[in-house]
Amino acid sequence: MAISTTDRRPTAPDRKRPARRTWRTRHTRAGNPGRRVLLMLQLATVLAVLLIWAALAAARLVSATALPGPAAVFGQFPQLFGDPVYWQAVGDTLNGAVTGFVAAAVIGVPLGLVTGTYAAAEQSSRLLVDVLRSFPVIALLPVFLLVLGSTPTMKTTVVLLACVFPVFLQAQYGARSVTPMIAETMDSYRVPRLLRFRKVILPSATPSVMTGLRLAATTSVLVAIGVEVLTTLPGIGHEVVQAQQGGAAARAYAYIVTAGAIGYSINLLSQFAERRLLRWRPPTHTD
Amino acid sequence: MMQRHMKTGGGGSSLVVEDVCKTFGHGADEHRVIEGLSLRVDPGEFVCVVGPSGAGKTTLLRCLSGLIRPTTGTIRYGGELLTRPHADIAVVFQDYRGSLLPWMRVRDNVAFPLEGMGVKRAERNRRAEECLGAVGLADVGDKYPWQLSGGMQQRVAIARGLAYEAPVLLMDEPFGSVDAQSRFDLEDLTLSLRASLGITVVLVTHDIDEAVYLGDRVVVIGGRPTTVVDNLVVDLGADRDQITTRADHRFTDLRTRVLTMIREAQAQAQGEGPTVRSESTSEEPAPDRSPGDAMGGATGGTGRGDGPAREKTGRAVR
Repeated sequence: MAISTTDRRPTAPDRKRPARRTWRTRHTRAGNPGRRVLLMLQLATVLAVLLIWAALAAARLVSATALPGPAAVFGQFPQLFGDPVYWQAVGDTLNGAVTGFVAAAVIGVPLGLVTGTYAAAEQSSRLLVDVLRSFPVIALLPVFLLVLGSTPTMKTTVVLLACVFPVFLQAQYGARSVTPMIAETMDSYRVPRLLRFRKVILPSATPSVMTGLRLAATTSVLVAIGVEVLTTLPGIGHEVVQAQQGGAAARAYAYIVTAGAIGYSINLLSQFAERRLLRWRPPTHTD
Repeated sequence: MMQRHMKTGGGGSSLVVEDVCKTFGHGADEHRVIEGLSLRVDPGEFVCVVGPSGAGKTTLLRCLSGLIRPTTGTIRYGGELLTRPHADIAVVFQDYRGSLLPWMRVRDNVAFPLEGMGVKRAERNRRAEECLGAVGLADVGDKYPWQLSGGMQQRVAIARGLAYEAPVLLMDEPFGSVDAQSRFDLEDLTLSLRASLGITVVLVTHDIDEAVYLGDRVVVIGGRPTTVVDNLVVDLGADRDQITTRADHRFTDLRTRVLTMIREAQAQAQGEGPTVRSESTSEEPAPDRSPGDAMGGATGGTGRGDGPAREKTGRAVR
């Protein structure tokens, strides 16, 4: 659950006291090519995997209908990008995922923060939350199908249920992370409750809340696609199944790659948001 | 220096602790930390409470700040029973790293308590800058706490206490975790702030030299459970200097006395039986001890003739 990223604080050296600047600057200058080399290595790794994939496909170890080569898969994209069906599928999936995610955040974050602030609320809700979050959402899918029918609302609901617990628990955990020392200082300066919530509990909980949101964001896309695969609801998952059943393996893989790209973009976005929100952190927090 | 909006004159009202006991835990785990402790701090006084570690100094200070309530006995501020933190009382804790908000810039940290009091932003910032200036940190308002050294962070915590404009400042081992040089600087800073603002300061420390150097009066606490062992007036005058004051024979005499008393109290607490009061104490004509504690000395259990009382507390442990 560590809040990751290797390069949270490129500006840190400038903020340090001048006495240290010479050493830091030199260090950074030496570090810059290092970062470029790292990027090259990472790209090379990706390339190597693509090559192995191409080799496997070319060697026909697996039939071409099960595993088309990367060229065939990526070759699908120019056509797909011009196809409104593709964008409709991406839109449907994102719609379900984002709506469910936002609903989960709107419900989970405030509820978690409030219950986390008051020990009694946290303790009395713990059993219920622990039981509820133990249900695998996908296993409950038939129940939802029965109750809500095969509708976009059902997809959103399932996404919401899958996302709300990590968000809620991380928010609760974050609210409890206010140290006794700070709580006592705020008591002694008689900081009123609402102000304390806004400017002490909230910032203190932010790192943890961000972790919860990031987990939930990835989960939301995963669950939305899962629901589409298992039901007849439109979206990327549905297209994957359609393409696969129609023998268009390359097309199916192209949709899978699309899903991966969406997941990766979400990660990048949340890292960026985290970096903006947690600018106050000292660089020691980076690892 | 600083303009202050005084509520009830420079040092506020007097802080009176009467027969306070503090017990933690219940049943078999019950642990009595403080027993029958009485103390009086008058407006404008600088009182240092000194005692060995584990003597319940922090517990006492938390009681004085209204953060916790004594199990029995009363603490009154200006005649009013203190049951929760009071607007007239600011606290500076030992753990400066833990008490500053890491997500707020230094200026906002200092101004934050004022926001809770409904002070407008411009006024808050003005006061914060003024108080940062008073502690010698005029140019760091835009930094985050982690960008400052330990001593500087503790100055920020002091500035926050000053910005709150409470006439009473409680300090819990405030210089305990900074390096020796910063410590001297902070001690002198505290003395000069107190002189210019006329505030009341109660400082809790385990450092005898520090207590004698800073205080108008040193209250020695000790024993198990803790009570007031002695209470002596420091006659070193208002102007003190790290080099000359510490070399002054009156300073060294006082330090010797305090140390002797603490050792004695510890020996008793450890069950080695009552020891005879140290020679140096009885020989001294005791010019450093105000007869009858006119300055507002401890109100109970501190007189010289209270040997039996201390024996009693010593026995209570076993």
